[in-house]
Amino acid sequence: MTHIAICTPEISYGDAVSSDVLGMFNILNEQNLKVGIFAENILIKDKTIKNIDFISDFIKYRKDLIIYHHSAGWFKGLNLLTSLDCKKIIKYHGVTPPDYFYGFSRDHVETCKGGIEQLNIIANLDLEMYLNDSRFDMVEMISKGAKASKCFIVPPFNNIGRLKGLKPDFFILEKYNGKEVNILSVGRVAPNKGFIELIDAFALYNKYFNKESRLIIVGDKHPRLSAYIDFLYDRVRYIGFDNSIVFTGKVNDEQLKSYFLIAKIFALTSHHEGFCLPLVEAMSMKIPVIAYGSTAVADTIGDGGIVWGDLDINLIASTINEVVTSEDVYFFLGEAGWRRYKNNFTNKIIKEIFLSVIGKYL
Amino acid sequence: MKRIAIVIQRCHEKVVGGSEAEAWHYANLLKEDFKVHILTTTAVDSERWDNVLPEGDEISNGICIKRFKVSQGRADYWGEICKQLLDEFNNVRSKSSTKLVKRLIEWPTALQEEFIYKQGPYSDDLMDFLSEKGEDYKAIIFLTCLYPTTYFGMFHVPRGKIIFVPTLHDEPPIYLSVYKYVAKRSRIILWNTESEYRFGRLLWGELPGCVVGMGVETKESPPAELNFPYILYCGRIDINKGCAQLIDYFLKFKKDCPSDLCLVLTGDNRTKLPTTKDIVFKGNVPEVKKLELMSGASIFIMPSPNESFSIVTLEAMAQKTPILASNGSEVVIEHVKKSDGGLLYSGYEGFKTGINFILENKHEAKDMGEKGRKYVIKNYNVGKIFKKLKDRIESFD
Amino acid sequence: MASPDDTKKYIEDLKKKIRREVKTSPSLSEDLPENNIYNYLNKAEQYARIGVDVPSFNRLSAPRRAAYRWATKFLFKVLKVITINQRQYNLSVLDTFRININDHNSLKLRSAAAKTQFDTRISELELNLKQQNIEICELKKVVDYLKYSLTQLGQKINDIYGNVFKGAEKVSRSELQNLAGEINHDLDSLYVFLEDNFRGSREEIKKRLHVYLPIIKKANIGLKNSPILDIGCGRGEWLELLGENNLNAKGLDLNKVMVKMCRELGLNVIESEALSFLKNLSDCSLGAVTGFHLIEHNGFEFLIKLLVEILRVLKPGGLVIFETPNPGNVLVGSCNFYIDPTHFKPLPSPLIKLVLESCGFNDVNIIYLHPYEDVFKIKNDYSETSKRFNDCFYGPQDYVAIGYKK
Repeated sequence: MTHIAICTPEISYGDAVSSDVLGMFNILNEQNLKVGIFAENILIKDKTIKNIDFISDFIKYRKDLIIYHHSAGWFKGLNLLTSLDCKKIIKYHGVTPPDYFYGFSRDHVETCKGGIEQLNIIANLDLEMYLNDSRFDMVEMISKGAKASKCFIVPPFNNIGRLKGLKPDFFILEKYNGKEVNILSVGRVAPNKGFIELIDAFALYNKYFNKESRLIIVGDKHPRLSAYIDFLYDRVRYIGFDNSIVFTGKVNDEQLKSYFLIAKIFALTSHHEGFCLPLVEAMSMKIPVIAYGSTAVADTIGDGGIVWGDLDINLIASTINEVVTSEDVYFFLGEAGWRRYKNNFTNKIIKEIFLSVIGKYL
Repeated sequence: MKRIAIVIQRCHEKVVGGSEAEAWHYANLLKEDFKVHILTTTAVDSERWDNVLPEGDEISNGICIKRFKVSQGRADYWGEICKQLLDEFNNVRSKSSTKLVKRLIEWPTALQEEFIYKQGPYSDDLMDFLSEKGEDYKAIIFLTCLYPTTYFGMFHVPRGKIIFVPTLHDEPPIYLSVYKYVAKRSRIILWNTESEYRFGRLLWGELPGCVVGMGVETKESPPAELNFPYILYCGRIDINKGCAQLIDYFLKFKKDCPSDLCLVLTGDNRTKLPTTKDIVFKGNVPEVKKLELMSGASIFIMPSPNESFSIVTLEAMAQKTPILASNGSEVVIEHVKKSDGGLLYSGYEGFKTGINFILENKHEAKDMGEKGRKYVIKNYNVGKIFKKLKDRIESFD
Repeated sequence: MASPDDTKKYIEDLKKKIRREVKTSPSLSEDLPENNIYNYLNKAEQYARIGVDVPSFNRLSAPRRAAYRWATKFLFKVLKVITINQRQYNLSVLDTFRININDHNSLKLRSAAAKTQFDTRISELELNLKQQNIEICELKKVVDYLKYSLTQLGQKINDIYGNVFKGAEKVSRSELQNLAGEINHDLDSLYVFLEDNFRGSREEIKKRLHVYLPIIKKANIGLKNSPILDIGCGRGEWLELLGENNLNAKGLDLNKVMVKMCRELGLNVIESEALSFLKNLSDCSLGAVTGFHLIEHNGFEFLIKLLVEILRVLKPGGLVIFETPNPGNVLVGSCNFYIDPTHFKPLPSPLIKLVLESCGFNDVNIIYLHPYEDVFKIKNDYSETSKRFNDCFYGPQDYVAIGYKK
């Protein structure tokens, strides 16, 4: 029987790549295949997940398969990828360009640079298949040298079903569910996420349209990006919105669910995304989505929300107002987003796409 | 033969419920002209929605009942969300300055849907079925807007096929603004009574629809052979149906006005009944027996403030039994006032006066009975209801 | 309420609305506090200069103050010497930053101004282009009309010359009659012009006629021994379509300009009156007879005679197709029907069905066509009134009657 090893540099809770890894594992397991997860940094308590150093005990034959998840520089992973003699499929999640991190975190610059260099190498290895989270990622993969005939779009597996069943954190519901309009954004607090523009757009909305509003940014504040985080806090203080803008930091799934439940609008002004899973999570809950359509964002949202081609904070602020004040628009957009999710991003659909694409290697 | 689907949260002969009875009634009315499928869950109990009945198809009375397993029943923490809803409802109500339009609860959609979803019953399989097969039906009738089977189900089928039968009660959850949205996106709304239509208009504005209701059995039954005079209540025996107050009032009445009058109760019991010979609990009785009990009763009592149609009241009227109803339910008030087939009461004194009047004035009581029966025959004749329903369905492309 | 099918359009319309509102209202972002990078620079400069100014020590008594100030000055002098290179470096770097930021800001402003100018110019050019395109379309229509008129004039002159060369005494009675008959054709070119303007372009009409091809193919006609005759073939769209599908067909028309146009397209068209042409054909010699917007131009008696002849000349299994405006549509019956001044009377579909059946045609079918697009209809209202209104005013504009010979 073919052994399938799913490899990733790190596996943790609340991370989109990890969700995809676990999703793939569950699907392949359901098919009664011999599958294992291998990672260098294991932050999930699960005995079945093994350290990457043990992969050669699992992948022994040429017919065995590695599904290698690439989203950042990972030297150990790349070495194994090039040295192991077996079938190889890449799952590409996009690499954030290092430019965003200059002046904020040298570590991040190096990791991103590494990611891009390794992308060049991986694309030219002419492996069995290159699966990409989005059209944007696929185009990037092809531009780096991968054969178009070997490239496919397979959206990442998600945890929406699990989120749906969870009990929300009632403390957050009681604290934030009130007369204020809550505008939510979810994503790591990192320079490529465009939070400065989001903060400014929210400030305009609050000042000119609705003083009873709140911006909630849910995302991990990594210590190595403290310079950027301070930069954001300074901006918030400088424009005088300390009380209306909330940075939650890392949250657990119950808390994340609560934030989605109290959100009237989901806003995204990110400059670079490989897919953006929080968009899909928001759409699945009928939360109207308003976004700047950079990189893969427009692909992910499709006609499930309002996407602007330019990052104009006046437009973002006005759009929020238009959606919040018109009941018909609000509900219509919510339903449009849900339909986008239902027709394209349920795990059932992704499973069908995934299995049909990699079927011949199973 | 064209196909019609009826989506209802439960469907089984053991189940006692107004909207479930209405769904079954519509299915039977339509089955001669259409191929009727009832789409429902495997749940029987309306508190927890546990999977009890087997999944799959059952043919009953020429109607195909398709049962799907419940994937989300009543969540343990649903009560906590309920509490938040009640607080918000009271908040909104206190700010409502006009009765012309009802203020709605405008929580974010996700939170409103969390309330509906975790109330249960939700069925993934039923939703998948509606998505895949919804197009095959000429029309899909969704009953009872509060439940996830209806609310979420309506998003899985083409809008032009939706017939929405909301069965509204004036209770806090109905003020969620998402219900207004699904009502607006339906093809047509069927109301059970004029008062329900008026209430719906206050909540959601004017929407395409008409009053249809249910057909009521009008064949006269022989009176039940009980060797004591009695007043009768039929339906779920529950505090929400006013039953605790009814028992309380009746026991007090017996102290104030001793006689051999008894209170007979039929239906599902959800309360603790006192052990006294004055209160006779019959449990769930077959339809025939229920009509006989109605026919033999001196008075049919309706204490419930939450009636969306009150078919039992109309059935009792059809058996020429005078009605004594609490003035808490607009629907029942409308039936009693329009028919002149009974009296309304408020508080214990009104209850006592009402019973005494009917018992002591045989001629007036008989007159009420006749008028009640005339009212039911004129407005709730089965043929008329069937024609209204069929015309609506035929008007769909 | 918009349906899921309209999602893309709904969102586009919403975005246009928001953009219009943002354009017409003053830029809200101008009110936002400036980027605070200058504050950072100022702070940094402050730190760079620490030690240059001696503190005042005002809280101390005078003798102590003097001593502290002297000591501090001395210390700073020593430190100045030690740190002079570092401080120079720090201040130089800060100056460089400041210059770069200033340059960047002024570049931003210049580029924003240039973008605004560019956008304005593009908008102007687009408007001009749009206007010019409209004018070109109008000119084209006039040129077409002139072409038709010239064609007709040319034909008349040829006929006259022909007769002049023959010699006046040799002109026969019939030829004189023909010449006189030319007066009846004076409006031919105007009629072609009206067709172009009100019926629709050739391409639109040809697209609409595709719907009849399966009917023809199913009846297995249009072969060499079962040709198709199109009466009143007009601009020849149907004949062209049949030809593209290798079906044998010819057309008849009385309009000389249209006949000439068709022949120039290589279509087999005869200038003849329909009834007289049919009378010269043998029994069972045609596979189908078609007439698109024909029967409404003639009276009832003519229609009956035409149908009798058509039935005679059709082979068994052959069919007749008549498409005509639908007076069941209130707008058609009361107004649009009369845009064509040669239309006689609107013909309700039940009447035509009955007439075809009574003339001996079998399996007569009426199909309604060309309803108005949804944009004209009352939307978001499923009431009976709206439905009926839409059906009566914006329902099918034409219908076709199809009948078969057994």
